[in-house]
Amino acid sequence: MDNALPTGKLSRGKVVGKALLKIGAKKTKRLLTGGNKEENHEEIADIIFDALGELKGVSVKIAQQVALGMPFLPPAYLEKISKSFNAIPSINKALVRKIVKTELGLYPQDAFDTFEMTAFAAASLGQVHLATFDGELLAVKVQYPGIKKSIESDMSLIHFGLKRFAKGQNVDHIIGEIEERLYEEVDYVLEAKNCDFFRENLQIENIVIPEVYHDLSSEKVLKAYTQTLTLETFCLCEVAS
Amino acid sequence: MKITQSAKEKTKIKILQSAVDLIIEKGFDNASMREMAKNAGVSNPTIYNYFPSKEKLLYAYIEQKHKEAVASLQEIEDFHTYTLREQLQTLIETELELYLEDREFIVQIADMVFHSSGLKMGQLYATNALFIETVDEMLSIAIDAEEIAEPPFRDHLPKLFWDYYIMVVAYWVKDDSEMFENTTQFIDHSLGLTESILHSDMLNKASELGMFFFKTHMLSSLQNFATKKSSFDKIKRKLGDVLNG
Repeated sequence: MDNALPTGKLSRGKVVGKALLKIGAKKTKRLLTGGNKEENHEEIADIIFDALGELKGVSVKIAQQVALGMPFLPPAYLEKISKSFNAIPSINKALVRKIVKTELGLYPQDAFDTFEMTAFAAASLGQVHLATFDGELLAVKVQYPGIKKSIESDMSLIHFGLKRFAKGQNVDHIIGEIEERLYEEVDYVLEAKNCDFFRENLQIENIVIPEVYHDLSSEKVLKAYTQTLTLETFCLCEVAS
Repeated sequence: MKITQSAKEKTKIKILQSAVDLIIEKGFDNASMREMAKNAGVSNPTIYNYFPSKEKLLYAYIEQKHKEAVASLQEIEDFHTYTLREQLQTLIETELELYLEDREFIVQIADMVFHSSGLKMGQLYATNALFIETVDEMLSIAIDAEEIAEPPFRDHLPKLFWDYYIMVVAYWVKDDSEMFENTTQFIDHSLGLTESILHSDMLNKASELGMFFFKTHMLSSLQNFATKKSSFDKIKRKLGDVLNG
């Protein structure tokens, strides 16, 4: 599997174009054959999700914002988008090793006592590896290379697309807002600070805010104590008990 | 006093490092062997025992980095779980990582190789034995493990990979992106392509197509050449004209 992240505007545009073509074909097919509407939604959601998976990172984030802000979308879309919260193609071992070395100055096997080269979870803008250090179990979040750069080209693509749909309405402030949030998300130093803030100020039973190891973190690599559940799983557990 | 192999190796590395530092500081042309020897704490004759010329020093540096890179790969415990693409990618990234410390030196060498022809590409090739052997072994392992099918021109692939590697270094030398992120992505994309070609059996198909054309068209035209009569229809003029004036 090719894990390369398409960063150029052109290559990303191509992925989007391909997806749009497929959707167009599906729509036409439904018009001609009069197929089931629900089924069609599901197929289209599949196409969109695949394309977003290919683009990785920023587009997935945008999809998430759309999902949060537009609960009126058909359930098939929401379901697929919610999958993207946790399941994105992984970056390969060679890249993980390289990123850790670039960010921390040491290769994973030297920086930690143990380090799992295969990620146990994927975030939209990075992936998370299990590691141990001084007997502590850690979650190490590693960022895809070139993510920050792809924000710029993605946002201008989105801008272009939204302007067509907005039909003359000003969408600049929405773009600006999303862009700002995205830049915040790729800055792991900021995330570490936020983590600290919540750890100090939030005391609710059963909610554990991870402790950040600052001297082992950088702008693109973040370490924290682990043993957590995804929010969704957590909620399910709560309901069950 | 008998000097052990490891002591020799240490002196060699010490000379190399002081040479690299001096070349970064003064440029290749202005750095003298005498000063390199002085900085490394060895005598003038000693440095010539190790490196007969400044050029030899450069080649030795590249060989040394191959050695260090391979040693670094051997330290990765689960390296055998890496895919072929991941192994190749790790090799290249590790070499670049080693170059990073002496980047200005590499930039100078690249300039000499690609622009001023102060260094011959051919001689650079003589330094790549270890690199090629390593790639060759990775390929063999992948074929044995049935990760990829035996590709055509298999014996040439490691050398081709070395050419690719030179291209990556040339790109890296010119890369001005943050943390050389562009190079990282260039490697990732290009190896992704290499991987899919090796996996798709495309090389085999292309070589079959090539062989078909060669056998049916090229070969017959070659035979035309070979079987063409060496006779002539017109009567030849006599040679005597020149002699007779």
